[in-house]
Amino acid sequence: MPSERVRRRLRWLRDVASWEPIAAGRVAAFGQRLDLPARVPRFLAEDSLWRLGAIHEPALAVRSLPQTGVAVDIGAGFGAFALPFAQAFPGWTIWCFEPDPAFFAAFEENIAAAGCDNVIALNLAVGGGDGRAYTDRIATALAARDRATLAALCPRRGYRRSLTRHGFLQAGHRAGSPLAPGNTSYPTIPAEALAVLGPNLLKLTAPGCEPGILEGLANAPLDHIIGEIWSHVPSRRVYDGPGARETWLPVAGAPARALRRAPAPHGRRHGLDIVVAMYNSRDWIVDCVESLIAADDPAIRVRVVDDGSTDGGGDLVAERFAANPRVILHRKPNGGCASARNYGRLMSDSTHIAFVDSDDLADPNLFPHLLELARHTGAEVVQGGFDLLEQDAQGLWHSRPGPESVDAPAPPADAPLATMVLMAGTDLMSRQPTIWRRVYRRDFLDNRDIWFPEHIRAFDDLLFQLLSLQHAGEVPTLEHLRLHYRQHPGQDIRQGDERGFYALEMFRLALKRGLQEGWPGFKPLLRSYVNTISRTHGGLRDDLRAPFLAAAAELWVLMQKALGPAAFGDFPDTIFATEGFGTQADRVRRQFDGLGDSPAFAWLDSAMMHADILRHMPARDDAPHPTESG
Amino acid sequence: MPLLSCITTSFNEGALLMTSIRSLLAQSFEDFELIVVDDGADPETQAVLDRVDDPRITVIRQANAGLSSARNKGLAQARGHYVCFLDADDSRPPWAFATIAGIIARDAPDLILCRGALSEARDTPLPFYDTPRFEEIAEHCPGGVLEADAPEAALVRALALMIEPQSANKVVRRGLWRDAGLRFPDTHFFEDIFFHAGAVAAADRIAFAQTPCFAYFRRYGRPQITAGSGARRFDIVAVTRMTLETFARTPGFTDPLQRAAVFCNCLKLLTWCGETIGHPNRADFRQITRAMIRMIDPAYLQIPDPVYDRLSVPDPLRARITELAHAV
Repeated sequence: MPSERVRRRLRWLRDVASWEPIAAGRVAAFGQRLDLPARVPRFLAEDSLWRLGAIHEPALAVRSLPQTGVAVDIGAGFGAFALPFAQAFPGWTIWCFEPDPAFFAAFEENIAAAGCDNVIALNLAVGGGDGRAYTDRIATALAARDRATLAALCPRRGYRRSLTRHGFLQAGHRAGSPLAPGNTSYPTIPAEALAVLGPNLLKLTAPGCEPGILEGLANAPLDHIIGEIWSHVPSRRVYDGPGARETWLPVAGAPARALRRAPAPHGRRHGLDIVVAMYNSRDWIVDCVESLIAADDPAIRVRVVDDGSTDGGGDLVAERFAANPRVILHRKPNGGCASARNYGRLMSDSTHIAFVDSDDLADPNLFPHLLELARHTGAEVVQGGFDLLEQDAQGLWHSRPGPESVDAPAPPADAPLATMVLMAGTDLMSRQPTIWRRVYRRDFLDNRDIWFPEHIRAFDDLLFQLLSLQHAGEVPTLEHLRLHYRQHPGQDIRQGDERGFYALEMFRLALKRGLQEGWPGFKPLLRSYVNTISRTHGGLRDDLRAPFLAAAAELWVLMQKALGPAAFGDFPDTIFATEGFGTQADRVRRQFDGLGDSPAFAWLDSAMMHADILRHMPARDDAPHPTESG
Repeated sequence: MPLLSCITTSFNEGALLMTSIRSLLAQSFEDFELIVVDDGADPETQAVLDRVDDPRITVIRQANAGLSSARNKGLAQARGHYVCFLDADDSRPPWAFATIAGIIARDAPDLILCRGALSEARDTPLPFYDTPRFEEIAEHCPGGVLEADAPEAALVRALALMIEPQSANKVVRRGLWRDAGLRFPDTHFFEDIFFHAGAVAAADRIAFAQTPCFAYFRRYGRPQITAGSGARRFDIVAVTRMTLETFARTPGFTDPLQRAAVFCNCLKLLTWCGETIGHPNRADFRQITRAMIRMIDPAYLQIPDPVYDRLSVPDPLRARITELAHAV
């Protein structure tokens, strides 16, 4: 272990090395090769070239830039982006801003070497407006390229250069002395003034200044926004402004996050529709909807689907939210929760969708921040946390942490996604369905053909959960924002009737899908099956337990015949705590003696796995049914 | 409440959907409702539906979930005293509902089974496949209504179980549907055989319409879903099993005639599927067929020859049954 003194010395040596001036040398990007001879600190050269290759070039490679346009490069450094870009797009004009005088000098040397006449370099910082600057006069001077007037008009602002994290100049919100270590001040042009240039493309390297700059350019018809960002940029800056705003803004130090907007000619509205399936929940619906619109986020709409309520809930919603264009009521004949959710989705025209139960409540920021998270990750599924709303003896409702509750701290207000964690969808699969705390990409659900099974009248979210999480990959999660799931004594899950058998049908359907879709593995599905069977069996009416066990064991053996023994290494029969499971499974295995494995076993359905058929199946007294125990 | 509810499901038929709708709007008997379940239909088909303007039509929209689920949904919304079905690209002759209404007025049966017509792929109009069965039934049930205590009741019921399991050939009293929990097997094709056996087994009074009341079209214009030769054919194995295990819980199961009738009707379809399924899937099809035969009640396999004679089961089907029973 090196001592603290040795470590300090090493760090100092590294710092010194990072300031050692080198020439960036040969740069290849955007189909161009050019030489940048000016000497700059090593960290700046390496960093800029890394960003060029890892961020800027791929971002432009996936787009179709026109032959002419205006680009604004903020934090141009020594021209690592601007110069190859200028050479690749000679019809464009590139306005470049670099506050550091030393880097700027290197930039000018490189411009001269490259011989680019479509680059305009200004030794200025760019910041958010503060109301003090003479924005109009500055804009006029900028358009006239009047450097002297710009220098006179642009106010000096404090910045802090990090002495430990190299090179990064951050907006000094707490204006310290410019003489303090790392502190400095630069003339700063307000971002609003850049609108006069009519920029089509914005390239950003402006740590900490990004929200202000994008706010300043809120009305500029930007078609392209690229660059690395160090602070949270609210997605509305990208989704609400004029221009196509195709965006790629990866967050420094957070590889899973990048604010993005893809060039997608899908014709969908950018935003989130929350579908609330409502059936006779007049008592709860108003609170539910109000909690969903509490944050007043224009990107979020609520679609209440009245599934043939008989308690006047539909009229109540129509009347109560008549003045709010973001609450939309749909009415349809009763068809069950699954049908109402699907109907809401069919009516929706938005890029993202969520499904909330009509008696639940959401934290005001849950869905706005989940949409934010979705836009910063591109994830198929993102989720929040949840807890249980329970009624006490006095009839008051309280939140209680759920079974998988995580005590997650809230992030700072200016970094709302900082506490995001990634959870593997296949790990979430084996837990109880909590589909209502998630936001889904609509194109993902459509592409994977994931719907709620409409004929299933209870626990219909099980299949949806299995399929969506199987395909979701990693699920970005914000645990501190919660959906409050209301517990009722009369809830489906507590009835213990034939509807428990729906679980079997859904697992068979999932198995069939997995085989047809070529899932790489079935462990998550099997683990979920084990959990679901134990949970469901425990809650069933006494007379239904034996047939349930027999049918569950049969499906287990069908899974074995369909998937082959290799998939079952971790899953012996004894994994089921339920007594008698192994005996039942052996009975079915004996029936299949001598028959080889085949995926087709997944098709071998039984009436015992259909709750609606089972409910009407008369008992036979002369002989036990083959799937009955004994 | 209308006397009849007719349930049609719609997927991507486009203009062909008008085949059924036009034929229903042309019925001489007018006291009916038509429920069209849009089972995730494409925009072209929805446009056809939008153009139809008749107060008797209700459209219910669902995400695509298959024919069985769509028909079950239609059943749940039906208001008529009796319910029947018609596929989107099939039709009914103009006299169909009048004939059915006449039978209802006269006999008030639980179930009506109708003769049909067939339009072959070369546009040849023919009597439907099971017309000889209807002739047998007419012979043994001259009054046209099967009463529980009729002398040949068991045979007639067995013959009824053996007619083609077509959905358009049945008119079901809605109360019977509700009380007996009749439904199409959700998520499966070959759904008609399950519903047919269930309806005939549950009905006390069955009336026979010896007049064609529906027309079934074989067309090149639109592939029949069940005509595909892929893994979808595995569904028949599952539906056979579900049909047999459900029928085994009904009183008719103890009667060898009825038991054999249900079994033969399933096996006929199963055999056809096994003979026409694509070769890549044949081994799997045979495998799960064997597994299925082992899981059904063994009494289905123990039918004395005279029973087959009485039901005029054709020799190839008998041979197939013997073969399967031995393979187990």
